[in-house]
Amino acid sequence: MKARELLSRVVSPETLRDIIIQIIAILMAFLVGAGVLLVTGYNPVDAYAAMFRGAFGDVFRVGQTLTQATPILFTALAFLFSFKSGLFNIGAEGQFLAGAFASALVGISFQNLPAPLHVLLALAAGAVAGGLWGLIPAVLKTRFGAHEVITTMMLSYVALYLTSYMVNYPFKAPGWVSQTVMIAESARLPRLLQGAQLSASIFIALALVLLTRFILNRTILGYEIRATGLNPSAAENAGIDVKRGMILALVVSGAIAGLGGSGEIMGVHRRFIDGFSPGYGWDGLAVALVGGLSPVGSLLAAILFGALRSGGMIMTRVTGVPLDIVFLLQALVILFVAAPSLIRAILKRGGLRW
Amino acid sequence: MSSQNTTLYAGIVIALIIGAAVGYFVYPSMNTGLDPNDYVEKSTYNALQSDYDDSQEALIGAKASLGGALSKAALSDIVLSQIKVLTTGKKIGLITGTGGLGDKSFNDISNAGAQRAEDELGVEFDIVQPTAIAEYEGYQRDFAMSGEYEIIICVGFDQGDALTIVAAEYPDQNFAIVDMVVVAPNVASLTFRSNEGSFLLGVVAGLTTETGTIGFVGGVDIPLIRDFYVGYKAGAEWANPTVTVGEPVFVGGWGDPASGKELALGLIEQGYDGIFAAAGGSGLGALEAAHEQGITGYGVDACQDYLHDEIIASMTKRVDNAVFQMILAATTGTFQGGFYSGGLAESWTGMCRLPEEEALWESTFGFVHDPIDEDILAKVMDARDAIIAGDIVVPSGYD
Repeated sequence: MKARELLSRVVSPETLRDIIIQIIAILMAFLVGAGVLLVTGYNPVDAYAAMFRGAFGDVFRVGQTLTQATPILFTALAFLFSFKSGLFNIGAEGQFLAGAFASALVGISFQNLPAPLHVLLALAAGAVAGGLWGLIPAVLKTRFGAHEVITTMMLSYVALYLTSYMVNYPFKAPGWVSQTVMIAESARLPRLLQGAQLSASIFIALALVLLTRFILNRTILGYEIRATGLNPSAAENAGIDVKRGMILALVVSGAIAGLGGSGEIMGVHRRFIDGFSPGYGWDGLAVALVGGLSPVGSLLAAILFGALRSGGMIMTRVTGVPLDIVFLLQALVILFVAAPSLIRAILKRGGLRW
Repeated sequence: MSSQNTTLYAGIVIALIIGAAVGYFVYPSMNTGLDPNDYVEKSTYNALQSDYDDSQEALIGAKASLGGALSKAALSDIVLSQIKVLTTGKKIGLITGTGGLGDKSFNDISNAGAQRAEDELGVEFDIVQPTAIAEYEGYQRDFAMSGEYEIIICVGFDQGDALTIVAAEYPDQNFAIVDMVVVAPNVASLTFRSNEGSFLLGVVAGLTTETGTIGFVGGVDIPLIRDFYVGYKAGAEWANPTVTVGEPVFVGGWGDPASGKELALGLIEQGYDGIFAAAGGSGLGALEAAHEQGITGYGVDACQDYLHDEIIASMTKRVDNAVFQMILAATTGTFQGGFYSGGLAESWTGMCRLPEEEALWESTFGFVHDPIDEDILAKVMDARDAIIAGDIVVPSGYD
């Protein structure tokens, strides 16, 4: 019991309980995943071992994990920022693509800019484009009452097909692939590991983790946003401009997602390739939820999801397990994390009282 | 910062640590060493090696006659069984195009080639199916980095950019890329003389048409696709001097069946009664139009005759043969990077109604062809023999 006493000094008993529930949720997801693997004729121990090796086996693999975690961290932060104001911005995918394409445009349009200026310009373009893509649903919401779940989602498809058109026709590079030409050297974010795709974009993401945490918890703006989210009418009565708060939240949310797109283009792909995002925006939503809708939690959840993806690549190569199991695991993690009372019930049956 | 947030991420940290611990303890138990069945004794190996050396002359002869690529057809069973001793247990990697397995086209055919290598050569192959162009580089590097693979085969021209980067990073790793040219000493670029297979298709089309006018729907106006057209045109005119082969029309994309259908309907309205569609997914629309209007359609890449009764023949790219030959070369140590071009002589392109192909496609796609007119087939065989012998020189879309 000593260990328990020691722990209780660091975290409160309720906190400790929640931590354990969270762990059990994730372990249960892997357990059910193992069952699925067994039933489909694969060895779950081999598969998970390969997946773990693929995610954390060496410096390069850790780099791959972080590479995969970076874009979904951006979109997770975007989702939770708007969520705090009571808005479901599920259109991070569209804002992500808008930002990515804007950065790519700036990246290919200038050739002789000094590198720091060019990088800043491209990042700014990404943030502005993402922010504008968030502004549209914000205006539709505050002026016409259009529900942001519908508008942000639909605008994602607009962004998807618009960028696809752009790289298939006006900005298509010579050749057969639907992509732009490479962005100028001066607009590229440096890569951090020899041969790996991990780029300095992760530092921007980490800075944003701290920044969103600071804004939401320590500033008047953050207070207003959270107050709006908790109870809009009460906030309004308290003299908070709710509409302004909503617009700001969606614009900032869009800008964060847009920056994520910029990071992918400037750091990883160095050009806009049609369909380069396998759904980072949608994954971000899940990451934010699994991370308990907190910035630091999102960081950890993004690493978990990144590990699943990069580990999944090795797993599918080495053991032949289809990559779909990774998406199944992601879904199961979300499912169990979203149902803590289910786990409490299971624990209760097991004779444990919580 | 509420305490609940703290708990949630602390929970994830601990879960990761537990995962790490499990992985740490489980992983060493996986390396159980070699199974005695997985390798041959040194003495056996030496004996077989000397047998193998004796057979090298036959191999070299076969190689020379096939433009640098080994062909199973040219190897006796004895040689093959000896080769198998060398190749058994060697590993090869296959990276499909973004369409993945089940596309009933390039990816499935490439997989069939690797399957054949698994059956006949005893190689082990690992396959991954990227879902986006952006993922190619990571998979290619992962395969190359492991150092386990004799050759890594990349399916599809859109892997070219990534491979240019990765092949330079791993100069000792052999690669092959299908349908694209990557200039690097360790990359075999596998290209297909589509004009030759299309010539045979043109022969069928030229002899089948009743209105005397046949057409072509292409994906994008690039030399790669023009190559199909000029071969098709030449074949039709060779078989039937009175035929009119219309100017090609292009959809402007690979994934637009609606436009493909519109273009084909336009041609049919003008009296065309045979349409060759070389346009990927867009081509399916053109073939649909042929089906609806009851005119003859011609498919591409894989045998597409199973789609509709009106599609009586397809020009085939035998990626399976090219892949198999590259695997054979890599696992026997005879791999050479560079530009490979295969046509009818190498069985790299063909036509699905050729006797040696018909059964393969029927079993692959689970259907049965309507019988083809024997005179037409005889003419096709004449054309094929003449092309292989060099008596007919098929014009190229790259000129």
